[in-house]
Parts: sequence; structure tokens; C-alpha cells
Amino acid sequence: MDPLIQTIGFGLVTSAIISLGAVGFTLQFSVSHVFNFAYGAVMTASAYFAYMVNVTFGLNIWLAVAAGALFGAVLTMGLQGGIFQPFLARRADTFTLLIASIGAALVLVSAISAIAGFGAHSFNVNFQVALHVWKFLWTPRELVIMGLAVVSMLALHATLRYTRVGKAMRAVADDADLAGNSGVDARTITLVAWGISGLLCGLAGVILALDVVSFSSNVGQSLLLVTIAAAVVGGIGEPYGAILGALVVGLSSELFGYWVSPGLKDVAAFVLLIVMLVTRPYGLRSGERLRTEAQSL
Amino acid sequence: MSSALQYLVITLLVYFGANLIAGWALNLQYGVTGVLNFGFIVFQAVGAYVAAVVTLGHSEGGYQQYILGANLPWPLPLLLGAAAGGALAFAVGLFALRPAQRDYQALALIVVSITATTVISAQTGIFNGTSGLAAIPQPMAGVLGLGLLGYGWFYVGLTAVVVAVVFFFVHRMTRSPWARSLRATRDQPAAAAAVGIDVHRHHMAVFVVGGAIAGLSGALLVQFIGSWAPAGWESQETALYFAAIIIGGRANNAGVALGVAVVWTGFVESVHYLPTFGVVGGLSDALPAMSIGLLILGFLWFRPQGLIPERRRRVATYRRRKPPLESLQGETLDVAAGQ
Repeated sequence: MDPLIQTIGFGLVTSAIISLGAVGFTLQFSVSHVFNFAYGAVMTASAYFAYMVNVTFGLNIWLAVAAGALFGAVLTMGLQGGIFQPFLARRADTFTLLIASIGAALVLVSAISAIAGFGAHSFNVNFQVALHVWKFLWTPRELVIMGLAVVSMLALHATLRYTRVGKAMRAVADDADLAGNSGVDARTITLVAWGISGLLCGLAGVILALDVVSFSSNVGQSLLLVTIAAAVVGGIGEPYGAILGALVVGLSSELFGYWVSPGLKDVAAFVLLIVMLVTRPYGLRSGERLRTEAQSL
Repeated sequence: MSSALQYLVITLLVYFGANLIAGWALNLQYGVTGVLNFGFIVFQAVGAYVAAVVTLGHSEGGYQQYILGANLPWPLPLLLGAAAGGALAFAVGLFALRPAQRDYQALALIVVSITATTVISAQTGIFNGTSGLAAIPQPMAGVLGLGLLGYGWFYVGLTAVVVAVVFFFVHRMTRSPWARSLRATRDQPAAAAAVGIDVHRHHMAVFVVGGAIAGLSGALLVQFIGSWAPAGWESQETALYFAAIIIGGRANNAGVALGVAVVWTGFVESVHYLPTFGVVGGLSDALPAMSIGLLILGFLWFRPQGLIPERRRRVATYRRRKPPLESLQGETLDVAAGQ
């Protein structure tokens, strides 16, 4: 068994989790231009909700995954309707939105710790026999994670590409006022986009908790910046870019961990994020359209 | 007062002083200038680290390893701490302040903060890893020969002196023409640039000045506590300083003092000494963070200017006398009306 191949295998699993989170994050940014720091807290909350369904109520893990994702969607729509939309309607500046999202994150994370305590939890699942797929060695748990990510990405692609809602969402992301003038109900579409983003966020939270095996109340926040790194590498606001970003970030952090030190895995993602922010803030695939859009903010 | 209570008061006062200095530093950056320094705590931590190693004496390896070992007398550790904070701010500012969007700057800075914690925790040679430094000597403790409480009150006095000196500088800075440019870059960056203010340079300057003051506050704190570890300076603490400024009042030094008293003394530190009321799970542990989160949201929505709002500044001297220009304008208006 080649350890390098194995590392790449881990990297693909990590990328799958990050891609769900990053696509969700970037979707929120594309319609509302909000850097939502409460995103990690929503991931955590969804993981705990799934845990409750799976362990407390003793239901099937698949049901728990679905319930966690739905919970993420509901919570995200609540945040959008209750906090971000009102501030955006007031035309609040970037700082206010950023800091409001941090306030919301504090409330959410402390609410989770208040209810569930600070201890570690694990799901009640049992599929640990490793499987060989070509040269890679994956546990069924990891295969499920990657499968879920691929299916979600395809579903999102189909939604954005072939449905009216998806078309409207792309229109709102391009220019909300113009979309509104053309008869798109921009507020509803924004809320729907946040809902979809929440679904991805919740799913990312649950499969992250599944992947790390034993999780606690900082599980989502710990992945938040890596997620943002992927979104920024792919060009913030670009769903397809975020998938590419997730692959770059996921693989490079696992490889960095393998070659340098496992404790410094995240540092690769962070350095990548800073380099991107400083040199190419509009992402690897930065086009002229994005640049002008960001300048008009 | 019983001695336990006295010691509690001493601790709260010293912490309040150090946090107040730090609050003013962040207020210069965020309140006055609008630089979202989400990595603020790092500059405080580096000041604390340098102040610690220049008083700990030469490192003999073994259980704690560090660099720059020396035995410098007070107040040199404070000054070196400030210098370290400023130097690090300069180095970080060189790249982190480069993106034009301030949310990108904020993101870069929070990443710097988290990376610093990760790297320092893993790095035993320079920073002694997660265990950090201990037995940092307190300034003049040997010479004075005071008891625990006596020395505590002495340190409160020392803190008060440092706070007064910092206030003098910060107060003058926020009233200076320089601060007027800073406020202009905060409110109207494009207009400020158009009238010839170099926005990036001003932000860089305030970033370094704020970093130095942050380093000073860290140094002041570490000499009282006597220990330093990366876990004590994590990025969440930065959020508390932001909360203090938002609640107390942006760009108002008195407001920041009130905010620091409410957030740090009221919620963060006093809670350590309250008996735990274990209602459900970790409620009593989670309650301070939850209250601060709710306060941030409440203030942003209902009172974004904070408890003590920023003073409205106007150029008063011109208004007293009726300028000749105004009568002239009146005439032209009359002419226009007559036509």
C-alpha cells in the first residue's frame, strides 16, 4: 500500500466534505454578498441535530443525514430572514454584516454547548471494513461521504442549469435589482438560495461529523476557514469554482500534512487562502465580470 | 475587605486596565479608521511573549524553551512588548492590508490569527509549544518586598500609570488632524483618496500604532499573570474586543472604557468567580458567550452607535462670524429670484 496514494485518497474525502461546504458558502455570497461567519455554527448545529435523530431517537443513519441537512436549511433560512435580510434591507455596510454573523455564531455555538454540553459525541454507525477501489483504500463511511458529495453537486448543477428557480437565482446573483425589474421575486429567490445553501451546509456538517468519528461543539467552526479558503480559491460567489477550490485545498492540505507535519495540515489551506486574497482575490478562474462586480460592492 | 475579595478586586482592576488599553488600540483601528483587525489578539500575544522572555533570563532549555532570554528592568519589557507588537503589525500589514475590500482584509487577518495559534502550539523550540511559559517574574517584586496583597495594589497603581500615559496619547491622536484623515478614510474612502489622502498608508500607520499599543497591553498583563500560553490568546478573544467597542461606542474612548467594563469585567472575568449554577448541561459556561452574541446583535440593530456615541465634530470657528461669502451668495440668489 503506497502511503502517498493513501494520502491522496484521504485528500479526496476531505475535498468532498469541503466542496459541499464551500459551494453552500459561495452561494450565499453570490446572492447576498455576505461573509457569513455563522456558517460553521450551522454546520455544527446540523451535526448535533442528526446526532439527536440517530442516537437519541435511535433512527437510521440515512434518515439522520437527511434530517441534519434539512435542519441546516431551516436554520440558514431563519438566519437569513431574521438577521441578514433585515440588515441588508437597511443597506448595512460590510462590517455590520460581518460582525452580526459573528454575533449569531456566538449565540448558536453557545446554545449548542448549553444543550449538548462540551463533551464529544459519535454517531451510531458501523461500517468500518476497508474496501479497495483501484489503488485506493477507503472505508464504506468515506465512500458514502464522497458519493453524497458527488450526488449533491450533480443535483445542484441540474437545479442551477435546468430549472426556473436556478435561472432566477443566477439572475439575482448577477444583479438583484435588474432581476427584480424583470419580474423575478428577488427576495423569495434569495431566501430559496439560502435554503439550498443551508441544505449543503447541513449536509457538510453531518458528513464532517461522520468523518471525524468523534465530534464536539467546535466541529463546524474548525472547518469554516478551510471551507472559506476553498470558496476563495475557486473565486468567491462561483459555485463551480468552489468545487475546484475544494479539490485544491483538500488535496494540498492532506499532502502538506503528509510531507511536513500532520498537525499543520490546515496551515496549507490558510496559507493558500492568504496568498489568494492578496494576489488573486477573485479566484483562480477570475474573469473580468467578477472583478467589476466586486468593485461595485 | 477580606483578603480573598481584595485579591479579586486587584485582579479585576489590572485586567480592566490591560483590556482597556487593548480596547483603545483596536478602537483606533476599527472605530476611528474602519480597519477590521480580526487578528488583533496576535499583536497582544506577541507583546506579552516578548515581555515574558526579556524578563525570564537566559533559556537553559529543559522544561521551557524560548528565545531572547534576558533580565531587563521595568519598564523596558513593556516598551519591547510594544515594539514587538508594532513590528509584527508592520510585517502582517504588508500583505494583509493589500486587498482593497475590507472584508477580505478581515478574512486574511483572522486566518493569520488562527495560523499563529496552530503554528505556535506545534513549535516547541521558540514558543515552548502548547505549554507556553511560566514563572515570569513580576516587575520590582524582589526589591519592594511587599506581600501578595501589597504587591497587588502596587501593580494596580502601575497599571493606572500606564493607562494614563496611553490615554494621553490615544486622546491626542483621536483629536488630531491625522485622525480626521483616518475618519475620512473610514467613511468615504474614495472621496478621501480623491482629496489626496493615501488611504493604504494611513491604514498601515494606524495598524502599526494599534499593534504597538496592543503589544503593550499584552506585556502589562503577562507581567501580572506570570504565565503565557498560546491557548490564552485565541482568535475568539478578538471578538470580545469588537463586542466591547460596539456596545460601548465606536470611535469614542470613554465609550470603549464602558464597553470593556461591560464585556470583559462584567461577562468574561466576573463569571470565573461566580458559583456555577449547573442547570442544563453546560448552560452556565455557555451563558456569557451567548449574552455577548445577543448584545452584539441587539446593539447593531437598535443602537449601532453604542452606549456613548462618537462625538460629532464640526469646524466651529468658521461658523461664528458670518463669512462674506454667504452674503454674496444671498445677493446672487436675490438676483436670480428677481429675474
